[in-house]
Amino acid sequence: MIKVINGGIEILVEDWPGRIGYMGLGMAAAGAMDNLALQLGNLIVGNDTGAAGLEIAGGYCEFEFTAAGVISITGADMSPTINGSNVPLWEAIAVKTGDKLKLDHIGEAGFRAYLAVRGGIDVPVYLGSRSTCLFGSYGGFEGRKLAVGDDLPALPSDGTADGIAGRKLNPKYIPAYTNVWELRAIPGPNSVPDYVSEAGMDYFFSTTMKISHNANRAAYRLEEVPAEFWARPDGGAGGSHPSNIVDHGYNMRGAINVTGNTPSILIADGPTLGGFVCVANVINADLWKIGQGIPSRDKVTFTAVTVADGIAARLERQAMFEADDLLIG
Amino acid sequence: MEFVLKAHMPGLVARVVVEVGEKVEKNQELAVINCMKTEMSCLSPEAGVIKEILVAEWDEMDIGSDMIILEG
Amino acid sequence: MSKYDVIMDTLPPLGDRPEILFRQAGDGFIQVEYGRVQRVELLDSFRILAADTKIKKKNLTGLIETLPSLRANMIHFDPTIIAPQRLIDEIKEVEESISGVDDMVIDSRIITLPIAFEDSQTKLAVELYQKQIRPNAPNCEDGYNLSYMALCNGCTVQDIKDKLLTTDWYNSGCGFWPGGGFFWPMDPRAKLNVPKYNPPRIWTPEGAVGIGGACLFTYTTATGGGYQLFGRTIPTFQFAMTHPQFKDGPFLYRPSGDRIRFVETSEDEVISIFEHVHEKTDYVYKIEESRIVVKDYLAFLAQDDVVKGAAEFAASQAKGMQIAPKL
Repeated sequence: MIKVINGGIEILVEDWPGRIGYMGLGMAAAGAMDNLALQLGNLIVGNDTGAAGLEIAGGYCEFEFTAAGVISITGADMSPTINGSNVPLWEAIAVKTGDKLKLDHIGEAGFRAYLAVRGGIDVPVYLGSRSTCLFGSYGGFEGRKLAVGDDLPALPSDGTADGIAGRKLNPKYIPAYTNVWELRAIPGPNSVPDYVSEAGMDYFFSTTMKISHNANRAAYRLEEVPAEFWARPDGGAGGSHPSNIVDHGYNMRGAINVTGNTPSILIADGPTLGGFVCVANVINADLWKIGQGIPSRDKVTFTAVTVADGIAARLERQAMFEADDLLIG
Repeated sequence: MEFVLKAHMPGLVARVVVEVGEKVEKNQELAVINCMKTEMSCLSPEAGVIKEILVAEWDEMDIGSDMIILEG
Repeated sequence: MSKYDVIMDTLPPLGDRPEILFRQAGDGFIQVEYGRVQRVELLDSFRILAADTKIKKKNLTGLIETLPSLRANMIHFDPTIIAPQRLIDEIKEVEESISGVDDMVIDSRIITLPIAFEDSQTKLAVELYQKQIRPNAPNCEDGYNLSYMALCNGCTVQDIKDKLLTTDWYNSGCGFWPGGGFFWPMDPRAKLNVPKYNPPRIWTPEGAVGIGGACLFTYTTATGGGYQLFGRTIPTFQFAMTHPQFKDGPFLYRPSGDRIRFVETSEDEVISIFEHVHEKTDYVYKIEESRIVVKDYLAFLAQDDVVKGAAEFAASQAKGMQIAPKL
């Protein structure tokens, strides 16, 4: 269905919600970094929200369609063209054999684009998911990012593709992309008074932090917190630094894990267990924003919310996917 | 004609692998940017001779940052 | 009260049950923590596992998975299906039903793993580390880690090997790497302690057996890592799931509770078993279904010779740590 002519920076097969249920065996969920863009892209082409698509980080890539079909491009705007002509995002596009799709560099905002194909990308299901865990080199397409010459088939889809091309997302539902991402987060499990000081949590929830160049699918590393962050001099039986703790399971995806004085958001391919504190968790409904943060350029801020707020946001998201006016045409 | 190698990814310069005066081919690796804990090759857009190197190790790049000037 | 308070609920200590804390950890996670003080105590892990088994037996709709570790259990759930407080109440009910260690019998398999000490592959990992990462690393002085481990523990290299072989190692939870268990010595006389590599290795062969702090790890696939190396055991993981042992999943270990027991063998034998697992797929793993009766284990820990032996070894370790170079 789709053949890679230029593999760009990092193109991966990802689905949603990923490989769920194996954290206790050391396997992260993986899955799309921006699950909202992938799910919307799938709905536009008539797939289930969680179908596998291509996650394109950084852009600079080119594909050739080896079969006719219907696709959508969502997420970051990388000025996509087909056979040299601009094509819109958030819209179902009919493609024919031989068409060439090109994506340029990332633009002003957003780091990952998603390519959904009617039917979904067909790679083997491994432990319940088609997602690639890049960190562990398994799942997806041979456990790796795509390279020149890879040709990925699409699964057959139910019913006819007639009338799907041209269908688009109601513009009012297009997610807003920015360079400073506000992430709603719930404090815990390691917080005041025993691990982090009140002033430390205040700092965390009021400071705009730049995303490190080291941000990847396992962890989005941020800027260091000051020494006053901590409420304790050391990690007790966990180790010498106050960020140390006797190994515990991580609240992954979305955990804010602090190693030394450096906070990282653990996501997708991140570790499931380890010996460092987790001071907060980005709410499920905001996980998508992390994947759009541009390493070495964008910033994040954290807003403290309650568990009830997080649940309400999930329900709001569910309602959006079911809204009658979600798609036009 | 002069042309410029521009950064194709944000990140830190890991190293520059050519020297001023060196003759290079199109698509030859001139420098490496470190991003997402991965090394990304910066390839020469054209054949030419290295005229000036504008970056050093650990310099922070944004997309489109000028890195190396070549004479074609 | 702080706006950053995270303790949603508690169960007070009762008999040998520590205080249990329910910590909020997001809109889909609750951490159940046992006691307020950081400690490494297998008894906590036994209780967690006993409770974890009972929680899973409830088949709660909306409970996605649990992630047990040494002194906490991370509960992953869908809050649009099961309300957090309802989940906490269910877990509390389970905890109340476990009145004490007398009630604790843990399902715990015993897996026997052949090990070849100082095999050529882990030696190669040490050699590469010295070449590429840290020349003259004090933990690699004679080309391997065993001498450094002996130095740290105030004993001989033979003692290190004997201790590895004499105790059973208990898995308190898998993590860090797919299928990788974190194992602790059941016999306190074998409680080795060594610093981790600094900085870590970039390559370790599949099957390597290493220790960092007091915790042992068997490398399920080739990867980086920081544990001091003993040698190499047989496959404990198989991505391709072609061998019958792995037909339902790539993992040899369960999430927690398994014990492993090492027997010394030759490198040739280990290499041959690798072939019989991955290519011929006819190796028969030695796995015994068994249980830990916690009451009996505590009686073992209280035996005079065990208490005395553990104290003696701790004293020689303290001396060793003083003279061993830091990493």
